Amino acid sequence: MSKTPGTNAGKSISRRRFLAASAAVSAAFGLTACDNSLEPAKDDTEYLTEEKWIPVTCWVDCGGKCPTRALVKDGTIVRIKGDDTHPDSVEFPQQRSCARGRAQRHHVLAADRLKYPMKRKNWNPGGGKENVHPELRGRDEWERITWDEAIDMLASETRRIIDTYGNNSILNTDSMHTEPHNLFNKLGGSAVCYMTASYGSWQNGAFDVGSGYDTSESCLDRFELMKSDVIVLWGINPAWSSGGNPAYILKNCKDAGAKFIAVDPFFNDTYAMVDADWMPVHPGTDMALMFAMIYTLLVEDTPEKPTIDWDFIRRCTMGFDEESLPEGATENLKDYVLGKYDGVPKTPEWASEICGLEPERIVEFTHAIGLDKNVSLITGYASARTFDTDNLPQLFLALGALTGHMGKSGNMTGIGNFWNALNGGMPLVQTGVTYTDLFTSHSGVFNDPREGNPMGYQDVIVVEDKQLYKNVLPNKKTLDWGEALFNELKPVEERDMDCRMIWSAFCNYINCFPDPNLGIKGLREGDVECIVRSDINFTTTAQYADIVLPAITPWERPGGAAEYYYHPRETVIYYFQVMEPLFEAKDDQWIVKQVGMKLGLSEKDLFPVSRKEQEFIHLAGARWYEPDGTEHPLVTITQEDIDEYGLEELREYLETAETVYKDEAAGGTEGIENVIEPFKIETQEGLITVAEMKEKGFFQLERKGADDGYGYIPFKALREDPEANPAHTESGKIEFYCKAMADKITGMGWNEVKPYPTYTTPYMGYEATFSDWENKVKGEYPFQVINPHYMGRQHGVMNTVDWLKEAFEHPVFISAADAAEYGIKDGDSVLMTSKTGRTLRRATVTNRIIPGTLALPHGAWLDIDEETGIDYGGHDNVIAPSDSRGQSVDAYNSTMVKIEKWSEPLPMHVDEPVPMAPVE
Amino acid sequence: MSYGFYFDQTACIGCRACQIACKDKNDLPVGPRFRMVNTYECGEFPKPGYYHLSVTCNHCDSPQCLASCPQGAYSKDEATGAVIHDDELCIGCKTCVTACPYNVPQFFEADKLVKKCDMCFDLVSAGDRPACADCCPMRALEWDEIGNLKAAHPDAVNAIAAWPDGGTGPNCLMTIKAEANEPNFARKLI
Repeated sequence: MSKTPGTNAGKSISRRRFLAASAAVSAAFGLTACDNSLEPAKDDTEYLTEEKWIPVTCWVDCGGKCPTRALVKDGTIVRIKGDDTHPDSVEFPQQRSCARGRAQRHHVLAADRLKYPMKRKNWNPGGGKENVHPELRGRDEWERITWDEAIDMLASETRRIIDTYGNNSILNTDSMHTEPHNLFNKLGGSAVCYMTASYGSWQNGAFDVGSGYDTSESCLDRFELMKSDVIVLWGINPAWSSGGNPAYILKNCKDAGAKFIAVDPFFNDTYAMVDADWMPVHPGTDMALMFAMIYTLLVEDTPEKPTIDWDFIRRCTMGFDEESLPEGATENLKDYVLGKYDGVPKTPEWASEICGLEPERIVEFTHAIGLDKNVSLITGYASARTFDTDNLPQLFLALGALTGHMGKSGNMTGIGNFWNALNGGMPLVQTGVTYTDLFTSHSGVFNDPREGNPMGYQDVIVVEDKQLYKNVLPNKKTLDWGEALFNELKPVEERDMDCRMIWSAFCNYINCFPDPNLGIKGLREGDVECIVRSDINFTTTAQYADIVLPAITPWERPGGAAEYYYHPRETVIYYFQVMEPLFEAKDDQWIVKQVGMKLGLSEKDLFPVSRKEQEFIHLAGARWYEPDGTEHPLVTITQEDIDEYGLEELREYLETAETVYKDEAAGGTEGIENVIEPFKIETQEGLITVAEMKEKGFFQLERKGADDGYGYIPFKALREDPEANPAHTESGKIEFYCKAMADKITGMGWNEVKPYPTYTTPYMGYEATFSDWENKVKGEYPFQVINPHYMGRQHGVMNTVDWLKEAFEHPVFISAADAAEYGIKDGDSVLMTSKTGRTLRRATVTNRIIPGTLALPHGAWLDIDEETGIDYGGHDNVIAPSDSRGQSVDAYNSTMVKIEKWSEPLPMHVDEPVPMAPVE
Repeated sequence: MSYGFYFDQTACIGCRACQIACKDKNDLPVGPRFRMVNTYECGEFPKPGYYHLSVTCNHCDSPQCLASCPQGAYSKDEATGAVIHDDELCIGCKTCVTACPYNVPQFFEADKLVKKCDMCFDLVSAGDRPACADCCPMRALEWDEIGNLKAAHPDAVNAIAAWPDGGTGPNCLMTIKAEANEPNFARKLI
């Protein structure tokens, strides 16, 4: 049975109890509120006019942020509502949140909030197996400690480990700059973590070729998208992955007359809404399909009736055929597709055997995206979260370039999800930067995580996520990714690394990195002496830590901007404090300040400006942009605002900011100049007052349509004049022969990646599910597993929210054909076994998935039974591979399993136990 | 006057934002749902039929809950047509649960009482709108006087295979996907 220690499924802190907890932070009241006899709240809502709506925001990592407002009454939160600040229209839509934003009251006020600092009973500071007992991680009992004790332990362990083993023995698992970065950087630096995560092979496979790798750069703006005749959705599901308005943008396109085609192993909720013509393909076979489409274009192309946009290919791209190859190159994509090198023309018949789509459907699909139509080829990253897809972005771009769908109104070829989902173009409004950004430079995932690290770029070890687990095993070696990633043509370097401390405040890494069984083995057998986790729930990562710190949510502190980048391009979102911290939960900024002060730093070294004054920075630093890019202050600041915020700390900080800027500049940091230089404490005229922002919680620039000056068409300038507007490549063109990319990825040392796309039978791909491919005999692991981002949570966040668990069952989706073969019916238990782990889940039998593939939604928390090693949580990563290939892509969708019907009935998702912090 | 809800199935992505907005407004525990979104499938691979249904109380012209209740706990509001359940009068006998052809009244185990959608009567009385009415990210839900909804959506229907007409004069309207009339369908948990 499940090992999860406590359960309180379906229960939340009742309003009256919550009132007691939030009105006073004292332990006494806290104890009352965390009494185990929590009962569902009585319905005592009354509509009273004196209640106050305060802007909050959703904070899950879907790439967007939706503004919501919390109704505060008698000091407690009774309801959430969405945007009703203006009438809703296509041009000026309300910002409506999805189920997750609506469910936040049961996230913040849930009984499974962490309440007190605690440590493992058998863990003590000082290092050595006798103090650490690493073998008990995830198994030990917990004991409550005071914040004073916690801070003392954190400070003494940090000091001891740095002094004994050096700064690279401390690992911050958060690839984005988070509060612990500030602390460690003031103490001499730490090793950092990095991963391709959800971006798959687009992370390093697109930029060098000449494309953007995110929606802002590579997607049409929403009004341009509505001009498309045909929209191809290639492995993308905003209905689940990008809640809020993004799927509505596709509905607008449908209403405007667009026809949709979907390429995917799974006919998802987005495709169903737009009535897409579904092209079912096996996971990881997308490149075979693309090759066959290019083959079809080539053989059908004639001077009289061209199928290829040769004008764009000749003027704006390089390396497609022999004519445009760079010096020294001997092979090209066109001749490869025609079979000149391997004797295998990449015909629809050839592709059909691999991808599963009938040859005539491949031809039909190719014709449907022909030159004569306005077509948008939109993909997410899912097809590239597989092994051996380093050239997939390049091939996708080639397909779009050949068919003429680049750089023209109503046409695009690129990414359409995550931030600014389906609404490309640079932000039209921008918040003032968050203070963490201001201090450590911008924290975007594509930025070098070594920025600001005093060890210097050469010395900081950048640990790739999959190497983290291998690294904490006792071999004391890791592969340093830093130079290979950020200073191309430098190979990945093997470095000595003796990881002794792991501190994470953001990424739920045990849950989100592939192969947690390897991770747990490493943490139990290796030499890591101190694992720190701050969190709001008892997440998987908290369960395997040594010290667990209860953190506050953004509802419990002065507010600010939702995120610097993660907001719709027309909108900036702010949140404000709605309640006092629950129980003994603390702000992560407070935590690192306390530890820093114990270690001789001053509070001002770490976060010299309070949260309240940071709120002012977010507001006063916000900008709006004219169509030509001219920027203006967004928020009106009056002398009264300045007086109200006080700003003594900020004044003092800005007096020394010049020095900070110079120091950062010496380290090569970009962006600080843009952040600091324009910032002045002075009155300004903007488009919205502070008071209005505090009432509405966001500002949305009103769009009028595609021709309002804010429209965006990727590659438009390149198409118009490639000489004047070259691509950001060495040749200035989009490179279908890209030596820079091939050298960079091959240089990482795993396997050779060619400068142009070819089909190599992928590691752990569809073909690998057969023991005898010729005769189509299935092998030991006959199923492929994909793990879609899920509406029932986002990654590991909100996994325990009862309303979401009730609404979303987190089943494993299995095809009707496969279910019949195994005798599996709806609700039956299915055991999935891969080479890395085993997991159980109830089945949903469906005709929406290609036979041979299972879909297991992403992000549920690990719940391993220690006796059998079986995970009861339906955890996707426990069966995912942690092999490294190419650019070390996190190949979540290359999972292979065998399945069996499991006799033990499993509870409904909503009845599954919720991990409760065992200390009350 | 009869107010009711309109649901555009062709726009719905099954995200359950409406179900949870309703849970939040009414502070509902796990189990009872006043607005409920369910998902259905029909057809065969590779041409599956697939649709969602977001429904709540139809605030019928001839409400069977009202007619069947031995306690007289139900009433129909003249101004809105809302069928209102008085929780104070309810004895939890579940007669209405059985009588309603749509399974709308929800039994609360903890309270041993039945409760149901009251069209957010408190909000509507104060000039506001029901919590679910304007929450849909896909703009698939509308709330208005039923005549206005009929005029705005002349092709809308009030029943599909998974939500057959209960003969009670339901004040609901739907624009439906073609497959929603397929007789062979199965509810699927997603």
